[in-house]
Amino acid sequence: MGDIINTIFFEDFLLDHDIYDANERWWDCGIQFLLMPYQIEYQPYINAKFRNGKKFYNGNPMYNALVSNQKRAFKIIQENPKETDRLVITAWVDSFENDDDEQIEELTISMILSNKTNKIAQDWIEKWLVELVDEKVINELIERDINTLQEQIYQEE
Amino acid sequence: MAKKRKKHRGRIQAQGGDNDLESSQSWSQEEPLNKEDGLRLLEELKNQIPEEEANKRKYAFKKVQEFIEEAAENGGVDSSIRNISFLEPGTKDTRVDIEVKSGIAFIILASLILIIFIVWAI
Repeated sequence: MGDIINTIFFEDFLLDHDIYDANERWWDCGIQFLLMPYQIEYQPYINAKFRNGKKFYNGNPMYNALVSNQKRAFKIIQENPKETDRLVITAWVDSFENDDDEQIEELTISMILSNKTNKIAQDWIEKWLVELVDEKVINELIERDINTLQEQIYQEE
Repeated sequence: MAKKRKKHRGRIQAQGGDNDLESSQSWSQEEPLNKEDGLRLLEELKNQIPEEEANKRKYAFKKVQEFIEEAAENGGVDSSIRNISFLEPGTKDTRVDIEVKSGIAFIILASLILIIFIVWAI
């Protein structure tokens, strides 16, 4: 995973809460930058805290956003880059019921954050929330991008 | 007349993978789900799915167990966590999810007794 490992962002996010908080803000800025041109309104829908107020601080999820009028959401699970047995990025679509019993379609992206995976994740989020591609299309795209990335990693090794 | 829903509801699901598994253990009750019952549901889910599927989710099951235990030490979780996924490393979407639909889950039994006592006293 040479190139991908070399460009990992916030590598120690699980070891240091300040790094973790900065990592969260980085996602917040990145998503604002991505969605603002399309005037898409979104808000967080997952409170990643225990009932005593303590944050999970485990990257699960690192970031989340719901676009209420689209009934679509996405969340980012940021994985530990030191666990190298993982796929560097993957994703799936599922659904959950909101408080009004409406089905929300949710794209979950699980990733080790690097320059390369960030670009892929942003592309998937754009397709999901801006182009509003359906589940079949996003699944095909995910499959294609994972395979391409795996091939690149294989060739680098 | 619509059936009145229980206050504390949720489920633990084994999902995804090559066989696109969808299997769950749910709770629906008037009192918060305690840690012991959460761990019992997790164990029942493990036993409910084919052994091969359980083996494919060993890490994810362990992570869910750790999450329930950590939650219990921190007052539990409520429905604002929605749906938390624990992915099996090296897979596209083989995972175990926790979904808290309403109310509170994974609290320590002593806390539950205290909550019931306070509600009863009021």
